[in-house]
Amino acid sequence: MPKKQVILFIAVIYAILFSACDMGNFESIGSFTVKKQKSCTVVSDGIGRKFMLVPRGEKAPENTGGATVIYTPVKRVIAFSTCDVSFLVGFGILQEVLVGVTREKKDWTNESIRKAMDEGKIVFIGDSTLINYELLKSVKPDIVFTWNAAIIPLLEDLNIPAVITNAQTAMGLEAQIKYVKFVAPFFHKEREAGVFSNKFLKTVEYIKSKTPDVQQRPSVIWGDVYNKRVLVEPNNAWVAQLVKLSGGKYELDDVEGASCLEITIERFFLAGRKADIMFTYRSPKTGINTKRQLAIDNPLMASIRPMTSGQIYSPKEIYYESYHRLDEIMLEIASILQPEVFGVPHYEFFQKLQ
Amino acid sequence: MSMISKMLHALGSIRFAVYLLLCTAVLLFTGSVCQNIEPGIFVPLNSLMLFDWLRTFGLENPSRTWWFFLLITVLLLLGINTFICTALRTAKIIGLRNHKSIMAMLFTLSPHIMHFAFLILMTGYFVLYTCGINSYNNIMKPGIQRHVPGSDIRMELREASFYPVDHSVNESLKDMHVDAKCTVVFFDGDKTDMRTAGLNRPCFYKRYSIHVADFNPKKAKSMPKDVWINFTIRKNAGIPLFIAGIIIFTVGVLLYVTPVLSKRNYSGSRFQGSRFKVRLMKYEERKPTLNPEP
Repeated sequence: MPKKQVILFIAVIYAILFSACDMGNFESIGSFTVKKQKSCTVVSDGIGRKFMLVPRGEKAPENTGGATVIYTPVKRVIAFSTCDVSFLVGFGILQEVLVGVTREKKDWTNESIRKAMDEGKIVFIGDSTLINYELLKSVKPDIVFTWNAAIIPLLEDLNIPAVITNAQTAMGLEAQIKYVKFVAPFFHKEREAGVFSNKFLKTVEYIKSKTPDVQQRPSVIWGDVYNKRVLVEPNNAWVAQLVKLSGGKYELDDVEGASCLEITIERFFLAGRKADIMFTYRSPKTGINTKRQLAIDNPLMASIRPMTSGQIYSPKEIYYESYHRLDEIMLEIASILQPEVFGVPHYEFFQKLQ
Repeated sequence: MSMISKMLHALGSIRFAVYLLLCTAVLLFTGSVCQNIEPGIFVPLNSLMLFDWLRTFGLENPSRTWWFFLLITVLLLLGINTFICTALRTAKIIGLRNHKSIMAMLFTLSPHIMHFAFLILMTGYFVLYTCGINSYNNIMKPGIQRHVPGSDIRMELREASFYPVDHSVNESLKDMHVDAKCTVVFFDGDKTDMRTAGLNRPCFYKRYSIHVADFNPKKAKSMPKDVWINFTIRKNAGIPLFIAGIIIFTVGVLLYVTPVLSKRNYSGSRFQGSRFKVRLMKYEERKPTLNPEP
């Protein structure tokens, strides 16, 4: 067989393929993507909808390829998730751009948000499942960052682009670290996002460098039992990956899917019997501050090992508002799991139930 | 032989096909391993067009996707190999048309007809994943209109109804909605058309297919009762090719099985079947001395 001809043919195919490719500056962040182009940035949100971010003063191209055009920097934003709000805090633009939230003033720990809500700069537009659309319209947002895809048609009707900021599968550690890079182009804060991302990556590298010294690996579960429902973090979630990276053993290693995934109570108890440490979703605000209170609230949980001889940690309110301090959160989780290696935890983001 | 002729024979040879099939098996095995290491890279293949994925996720993660690039190349070469091989053999069979009956010739051609049909079907798939429209997450609430992607047609969701399951054993499954049915109204200029869609029952309108991908509420007793249906809208440019491929493949199968079922041999031909077969094989081995007897 004349090999030369065949090789030549394959080379021609690849030359055509690569010449047709305009990868640009593409980056995937879990389900999110960011693609830098000459005059704009194209991003896709958690459910794959495309947005073309065009700098203000410039004209959007005629063919957007099905993407919704958003002029940047965005000046007025409504954010459902505390995670997205925390990055606005991190960028130092909270007071300038945030105009609406779905949590009441009493639920926020961040003083600048509380103050802005007092001054009427940030408006509570209703609970996330019960939005006051007239109020939402009245604050004239440029975009809405939301996790609730059901509001998309209503916002489309109001000509307000809705960006879905959660994904259908739980974000892994790398995606969580880089997520700030998805939010940044909306506000022209790419440089700051790079700083955050590098800082988080360095912390991961630090944790990774320390774990070979680990002697004992505690078993960990992350979740909780609610009324007939068991919600846990799957093994592909960033917290589960961090537990493994920090020298722990994640007991729900066979569970995969979305964040706050519902599993059977039998599977939860199977893991709960082996676990040394449990992280719950319930913050102290829910009234659960001790193991005893947790057992009274949910007697089914009284028999799992973290309740009897292990440890239980609950996230403080500040945890949910501090994704811009992910490096500190990661270090605190690592020090809870391995205090001998990472030092005694400061309990800034988590509280130990006694 | 000229350069082009040499290349054609090299690309259409049986030996090359064997190598390609071997490569396909090895690459598919490698892919099954690579895909499991980081499945997230391959998930967007479900919602992106092939070349969009290749030039974004594919090129971003070459250590995980190299096998996919090679697999596509190998499959393309396999398609070219099949096409050239089939075309050359078909030309030779047609060249022998004066030496046999029509039925015998059609019987001999039938495997090649099936090969062509297979190529058309594969081309249909290629067109499906490279052209057309594949629009995901078109979430609609009753009463609100939206554009059908890539057209001026507007669509509106009406009369959404949900069907719960009565599960006597598992309490958590009881009252869970297992199906959704809705009416979709299309506004195309002055015309208005209505279609009914449901889970696994897409509706069709002007080469568009509308599929129900997800819906809410999930449970009959869930709160809040936020009604929405998530549609996947497709404009599949490969459908005419699929239909053509299926018809041609069926014709090929019928031509192949009819003489067998009717227990006919090549009595209609000028040669006995076995003799003709031997001669054809010799001819296909490209013996220049072949000169069929009259």
